[in-house]
Amino acid sequence: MTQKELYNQRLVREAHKVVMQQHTRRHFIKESAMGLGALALGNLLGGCSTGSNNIFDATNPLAPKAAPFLGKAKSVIYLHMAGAPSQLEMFSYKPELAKLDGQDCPPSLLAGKKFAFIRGVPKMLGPQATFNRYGESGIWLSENLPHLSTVIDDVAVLQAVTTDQFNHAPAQLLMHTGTPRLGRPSMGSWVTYGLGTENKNLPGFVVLTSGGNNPDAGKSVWGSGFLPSVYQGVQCRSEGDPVLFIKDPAGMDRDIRKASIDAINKVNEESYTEYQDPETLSRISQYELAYKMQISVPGVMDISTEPEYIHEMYGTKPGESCFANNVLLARKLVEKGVRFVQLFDWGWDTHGDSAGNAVDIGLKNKCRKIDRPITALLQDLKQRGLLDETLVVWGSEFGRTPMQENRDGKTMPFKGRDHHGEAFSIWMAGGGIKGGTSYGETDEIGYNIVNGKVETFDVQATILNQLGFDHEKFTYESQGRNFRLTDVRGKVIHDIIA
Amino acid sequence: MMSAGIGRLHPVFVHLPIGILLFAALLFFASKKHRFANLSAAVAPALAIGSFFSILSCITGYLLSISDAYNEDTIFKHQWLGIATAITSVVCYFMYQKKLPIFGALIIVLTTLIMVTGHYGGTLTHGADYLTASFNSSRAGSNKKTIANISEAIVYKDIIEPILATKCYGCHGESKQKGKLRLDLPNYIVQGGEEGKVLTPYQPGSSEMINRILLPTANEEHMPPVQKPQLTKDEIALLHWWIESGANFTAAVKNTKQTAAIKGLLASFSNGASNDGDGANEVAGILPSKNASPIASDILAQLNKEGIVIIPIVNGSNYVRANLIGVEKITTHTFELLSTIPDQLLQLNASFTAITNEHISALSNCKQLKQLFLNSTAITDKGLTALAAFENLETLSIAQTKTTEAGINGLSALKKLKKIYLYGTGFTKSSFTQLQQKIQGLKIDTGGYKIPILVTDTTEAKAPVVKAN
Repeated sequence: MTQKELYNQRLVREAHKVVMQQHTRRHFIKESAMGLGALALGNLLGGCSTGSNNIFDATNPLAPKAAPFLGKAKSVIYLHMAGAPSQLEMFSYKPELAKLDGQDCPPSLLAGKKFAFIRGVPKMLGPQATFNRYGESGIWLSENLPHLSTVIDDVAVLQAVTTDQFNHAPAQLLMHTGTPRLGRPSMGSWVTYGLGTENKNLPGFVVLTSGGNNPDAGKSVWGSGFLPSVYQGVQCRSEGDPVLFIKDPAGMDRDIRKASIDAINKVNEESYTEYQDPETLSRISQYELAYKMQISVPGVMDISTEPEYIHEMYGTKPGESCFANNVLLARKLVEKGVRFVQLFDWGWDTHGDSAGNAVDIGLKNKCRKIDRPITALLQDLKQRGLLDETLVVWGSEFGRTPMQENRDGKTMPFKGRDHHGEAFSIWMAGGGIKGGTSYGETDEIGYNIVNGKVETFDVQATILNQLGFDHEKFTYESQGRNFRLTDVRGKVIHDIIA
Repeated sequence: MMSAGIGRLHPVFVHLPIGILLFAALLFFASKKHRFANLSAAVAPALAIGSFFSILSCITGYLLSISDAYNEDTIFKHQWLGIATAITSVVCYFMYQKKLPIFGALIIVLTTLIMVTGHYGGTLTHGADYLTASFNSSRAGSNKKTIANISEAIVYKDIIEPILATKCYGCHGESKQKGKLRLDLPNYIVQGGEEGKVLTPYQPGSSEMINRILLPTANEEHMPPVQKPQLTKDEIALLHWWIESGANFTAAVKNTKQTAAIKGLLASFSNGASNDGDGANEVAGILPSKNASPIASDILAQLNKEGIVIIPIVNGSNYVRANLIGVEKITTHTFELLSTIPDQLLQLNASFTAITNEHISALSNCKQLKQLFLNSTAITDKGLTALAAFENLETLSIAQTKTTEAGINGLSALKKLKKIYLYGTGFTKSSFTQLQQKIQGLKIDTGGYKIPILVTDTTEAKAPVVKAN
């Protein structure tokens, strides 16, 4: 062997070594999984499961898709009053409770029950608002909702919703993700995963918060859980820049921004050709969406261009961060093709520990802040022909007790009520819901359900049904099994569907 | 029926020779290795016991085959391969005793025979696609074919016959007629079997076929026999519906009465999806009963390239909804493209776009259009006149446009219009009554809702001032 041949041989060996080094453990696992292992195991497991029907397309994760069934609604506006408003001062008319006001709570109501704060024997607390019948349907509403009463014939009130959680965070998670624990996708994520979005320049799932705080369950209530991360809710702000860092940094113009995103995407594309990881593709599409959002979002999120008539209708104040502004934004977003708009308004936890948290003071003020904009939303959607295909849901995580809260057995400074999961009210409107309906009944003090019980899962099943999904078949495979938003529960509430 | 009782023991015995003979083969090959040489002593007894049970399996198997109905072709193969297996195993035993060198080859043949025989045995009890079903499709058993145009389909030929073919022909077909009944041709179905007619037209309740199917599986009369593939709930519903509508062999779907449940099942034929559970599909009223032809893929690609969002109205339908919100620059070309799908376009959302009156005229061939959104666009009364072409239009929203009642003639031609949204337009009150007179049952939403300012809107509830003591 000549010296040259020896060198050549070494060179070849060296080259082999480099190739081997680049061929990492990841490649091995990936290839063996793609190869024999997957062939055998995948097929066998495929036979066990009900068939993986994940419809995730990494190249275009938000592409609009048709629903499996003909749904009435195309988009959803979900208004969540974080903290749990008192149904007894808003929707649940209980004249009998007024007669019991100030009396000791009978022990039969307390036996075996656990409360968040009530200890010992609390006093009953009569309704702190007067009620009347409204609309052709004659639904009872309190004086706290004078504007909503004018459109009540468009609304279906669920009077007997129940939850098994009596703390805010788990109850909010249960309401929005189908489990009181962390880790599952939120309703909006499920819907955007299933239907995509019709406007490629805007996120499919937008979250707006007001009231000064995020909901207790944090951002998990709009998280994507085990669904691909592109489906998580995008939180926008109604004050200042709607999305943080939406503006180009100082000194960077739009062309440089475009060039840099192109360069990043090119690197990502190379990485995709090498590793074939679908998450790389969704990363590329996310960069492109972010670039497009820089143009589209400020326009949509700017409510100052709306006519004076609209501002008067909603009671909006451009430039401020308030629920009314968010409601108007929700209409604008839905109009532009956003699939799911989720509003959280904080400050409904009326324990009676302060005037702001009293059912006869703070609650009234909170109601005044939502009553006008929500009524305006229903009418504004209606006059644009959008109410038929937009499902509006108003609700919270639970309700409040007919007893006055006595935290640690002491009398509270103001009239307040404790957390109550057994029975509370939620309403829906538009999107194929039968307006002027009151569904379900609670006992004469609003403590337990008499008939028409609705679980949180039933609310979710109904929302999915209106969008054209069978909640039992709308699944995503994760960790070896198919998951549903409603898990193993849920019945569509057919009585409130038009 | 002593023999039938013994025959039923076949499944008990049949697995013994399979296991024992395969184990014998394993022992034999293992004993060739020096380490396991001592295993060779076990080969002969294993073969002997295996042969004994394989003969027993043959006998019980034969008794079972004459007492019960099976697919003739498969049972023939299974029977003779089984006998061959038994013979081969006996021959193997003697060859091993004689230490003939060909034994090695023969035991491979035996192993192969066991596997093939076993496979046919499995086919007899579980059906031909049992092994592959889980590989092919997650929805084994509901592999019904798609019918493009369900209303024109023939009930018997397209819906009933396939059910009978998969679930009944095995015993009541050309090759076998249990109970002297054939179900594979109309005249045989009408004729019935040895116990009389199997169906009474219009009366599914007194039709033997339905009654037998609905009997509890524990009942001996239940059909199909327990060990055979059963009819699904949907299939029973369809059979029931067919008999209820007269058990006609030539009637088309459109000429029958259908309940909502049946409509749902029928719709599932056209989109290939099975349809039960909560998501009742109200196809009627929103989608035309006849599905459109699919949009050609090159046209779809062009539409997508233009930025037009095209989505089927519902999964599996060829009718589409188009949304122009993503079109960067609306030109005449956009609408030329849209006008290439006149048969499929059912809903169009052009709100907030630069659509003009001329563009609307370019779409005049889209006769199927049922829903049109033109909110906040530059269309005027001229555009409204052009709308007259959309004779099937049911919902029209022209909120916040510069239209006025001068365009009312275009609108009053829309005889099927159900809802119109006129918020922010120049229409006056007198034109509303005029429109409602022209179009029966039209709902007009004029918008401009006012929400009064109440005292509570401007005041804040405050805590009562507590006097200091």
